[in-house]
Amino acid sequence: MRRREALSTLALLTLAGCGTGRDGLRVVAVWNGWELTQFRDVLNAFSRRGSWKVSLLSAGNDIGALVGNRVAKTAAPDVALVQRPQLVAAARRRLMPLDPVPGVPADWTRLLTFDGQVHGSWFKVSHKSLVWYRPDMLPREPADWDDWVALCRDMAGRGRPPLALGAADGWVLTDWFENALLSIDPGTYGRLAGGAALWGHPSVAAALARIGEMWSIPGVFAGGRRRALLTQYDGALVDVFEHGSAAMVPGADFYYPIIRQNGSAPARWFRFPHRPGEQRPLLAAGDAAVLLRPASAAGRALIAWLGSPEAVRPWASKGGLLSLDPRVNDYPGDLSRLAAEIRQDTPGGVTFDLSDQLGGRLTGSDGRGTWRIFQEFFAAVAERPSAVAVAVRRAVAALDGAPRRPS
Amino acid sequence: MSGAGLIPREDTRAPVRGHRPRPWRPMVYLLPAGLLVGIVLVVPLAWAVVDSLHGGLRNYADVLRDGQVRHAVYNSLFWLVLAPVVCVFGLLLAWTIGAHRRIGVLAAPIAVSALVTGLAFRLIAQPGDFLLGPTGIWLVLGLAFAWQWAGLAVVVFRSGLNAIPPGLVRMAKAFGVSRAWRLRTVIGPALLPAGALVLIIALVAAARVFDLILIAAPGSDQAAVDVIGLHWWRFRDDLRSGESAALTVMQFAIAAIAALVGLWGLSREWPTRSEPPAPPRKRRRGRVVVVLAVALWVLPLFVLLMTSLHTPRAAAAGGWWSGGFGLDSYRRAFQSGELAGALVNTGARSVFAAVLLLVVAVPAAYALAWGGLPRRVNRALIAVTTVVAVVPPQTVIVELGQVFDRMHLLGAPTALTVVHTAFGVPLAVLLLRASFASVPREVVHARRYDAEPGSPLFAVVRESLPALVTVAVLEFVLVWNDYVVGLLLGGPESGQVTFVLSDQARQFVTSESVMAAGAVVATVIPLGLVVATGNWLVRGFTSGVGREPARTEVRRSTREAE
Repeated sequence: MRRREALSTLALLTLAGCGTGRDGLRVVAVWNGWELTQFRDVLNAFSRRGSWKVSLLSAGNDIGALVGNRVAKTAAPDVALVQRPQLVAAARRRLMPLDPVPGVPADWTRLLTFDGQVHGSWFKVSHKSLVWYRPDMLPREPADWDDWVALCRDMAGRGRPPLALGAADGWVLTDWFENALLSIDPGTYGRLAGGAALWGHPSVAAALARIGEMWSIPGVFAGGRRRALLTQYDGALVDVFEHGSAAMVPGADFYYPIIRQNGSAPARWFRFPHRPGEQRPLLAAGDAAVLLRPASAAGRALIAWLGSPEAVRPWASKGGLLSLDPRVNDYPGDLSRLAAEIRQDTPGGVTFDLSDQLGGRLTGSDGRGTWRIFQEFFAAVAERPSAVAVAVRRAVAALDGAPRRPS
Repeated sequence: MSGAGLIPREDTRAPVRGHRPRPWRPMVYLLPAGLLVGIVLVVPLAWAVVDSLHGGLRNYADVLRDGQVRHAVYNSLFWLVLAPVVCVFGLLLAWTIGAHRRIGVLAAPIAVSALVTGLAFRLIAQPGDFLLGPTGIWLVLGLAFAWQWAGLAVVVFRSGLNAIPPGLVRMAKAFGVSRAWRLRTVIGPALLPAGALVLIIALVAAARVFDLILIAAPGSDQAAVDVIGLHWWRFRDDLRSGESAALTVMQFAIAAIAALVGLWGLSREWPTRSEPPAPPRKRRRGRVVVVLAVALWVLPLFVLLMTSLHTPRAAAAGGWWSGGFGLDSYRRAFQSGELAGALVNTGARSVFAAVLLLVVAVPAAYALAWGGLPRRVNRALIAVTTVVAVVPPQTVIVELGQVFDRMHLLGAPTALTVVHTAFGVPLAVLLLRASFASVPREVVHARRYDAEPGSPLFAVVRESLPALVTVAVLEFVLVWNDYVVGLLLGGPESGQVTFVLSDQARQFVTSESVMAAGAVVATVIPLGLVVATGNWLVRGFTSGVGREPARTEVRRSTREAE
């Protein structure tokens, strides 16, 4: 430590006077493009109310570095919008505890409660147990999982690929797995989300085998498996709703504005199918606003604003944002049904995106963690449909062994 | 006074006290650059090495036990092999082309950021799916890298070849010197110093390759094309601090070993020109090659421009060649105000860094060229400079980040500018030294020993203006196009143009035209600068071999007239 201090002093001598006064409120968010513009409008409305000076930055995938990175530090903002509760947990010492927002379901507040204190406030939530489809290309909605598989097999057999998949984005694949595991064994899902190392549990293998069954159907994906692996989620939406190269694309409520902006075909959705007798999966995700230390009055005011219905209404009315507040209800299409579903208390509590709650080496991102493991699983089953069982064993081993260093 | 160089003079005047060389002066000249590089690069580098050796070599062993790390190491080595390959390709192309005026265009990609290059090549490769797969992506990445650097090699080697006195080659031929021996004794030495500099530049680029991969390769390929620098960035939170240091030190070591090879060429004496270049010999075959090469070289920027001229929806649905034109993407690119702000921020930072760099690097380079330092000290300093030139940002950023965090400088624009300058110093000093050293001896000696007024430093600087312009333009371009340093040290707060572009890649297809529009705007500025100063750059890069003799001659004759 002493050497480090010497280094600081040395650097101080050269860089003295380089510091900048920090004025105004700095906010970072993970969004970009259209979503960032929507969020900017939210902040502009806030600025107008209290004549605050707010600057918004898009952190891209690197939000972790901003909120609580220990290796290569970067400048910390005042308020950050964070997708992963795991990140909130990891950075809680740099965050200000907040008062729970009244009206928010207790389950949701609990997700951001660490060491007995609430460390964030939900701004935007999403529903990830959907399958978007083109009514003009799909004969009927499937009744359950096996019906869906049969339907897809039938369409693929007739040379009409049923599904588009943005497998270049690893989270698209983990969402499939999470929906399957939630149907099969919500208990194990909950324990995994709680940090238990239960990857060897038979339900995990069962969930992998289930999605493997679908992914290994020959001709099931528009353009084939190679193209699926190179397609990002927005590309899959263009494939379905503009090119019509497939009929369905499993995804989330926030696909809605992308479909509207880039597709000309009508879009509808059904819930992610499960087997009879299983619990219907409701995979949720969300973006929470966190307040970094040292918190200013303006920062507190912004957190309060982001939790209010007035803040989210303009964005919600265009689609792509669901609010936990029941007073927000002017969603486009039939998205209000999804908002109502996500607010309901489910028996096992809110089932939040598992991969967003995993830390360490399983943390998913391009080229690493769960994203990579599921991309490898996808490539394996799609390439050799007969060897799904082998691929399942390998994926389980990868998930189970990830916390240790791979060799 | 005509023929001053021929008649040995006896100076009978009393020695002038104030013009004696002072041994401490080179030290003073070296001090600013030394301090800056020392604090920003050398001390953190040393600290990283110390950190990585905590517990012996265990950290290295632990890191290398990871198959993914080994894979990244192999990939990094591949990139370093690619750099000389690209240089050799440039030499062959220069040889084939013959002397042509228009080849300067080929060097234009050095003004284009790695991020924009990656974006352009991904747009080109996108219609052919196999090109973006785990094998095809290597071709895309390799071509993108070659596109960026081979042109520079062509231009530098070409002017090196042009500068070889034809009389010398003829004479060698007449005396029956074999082709191989001619290459070794006449052509090789003429190309060597400038060639070594190009090689080092390419090696530095290869060792730092980061954003090119990040944007060109789809997420599912990222693990396959991992390099050490990227791997460290992805996994830095999972590594112990010793392991993290070990990884970044490995990245540095690989680059440093490669750079030392280039050093051998740099340490040669730079030849001074005596004869004006012969009128270039034009070859028909050369002209065809030039036209082809220029067309190929323009293609990526053309694709980028075409994509940007589509509406976002048309670009998402079709290719860059199909219909749906409009300026909507440009409107969208500027809509949020982020891009405009980033352009201003990045521009200011780049200008400041370029100016600061000249202030620091010029005296240091002068000291190395004309300071009269002992030969051994000089060589050692050049060796250290070369090695420091290849320090990757990852190696020093952890320590710097900690210092900056403590001083509340993270994200402070001035601090980031200073760091950028420090990263630019080594290469700038090498380039300037080469140019300074090739200034005719009389210019310095006239000021130093004779009664000619003025400081020898300024006289040398006046003679080396092209190199100064080159260094300033290069630094501007490097800082403008930076991604890694800003990402690791400033985060989004540094308001770097490249961040604004890369952020949108998460919805690649539906944002590609907006990204392309931003990329076009972000490229026009450095590209314009490089094109505008093109002639200076060629001279600056090759000042060891391709000095303009006319200018000195003219000045000398006017002096004589007085």
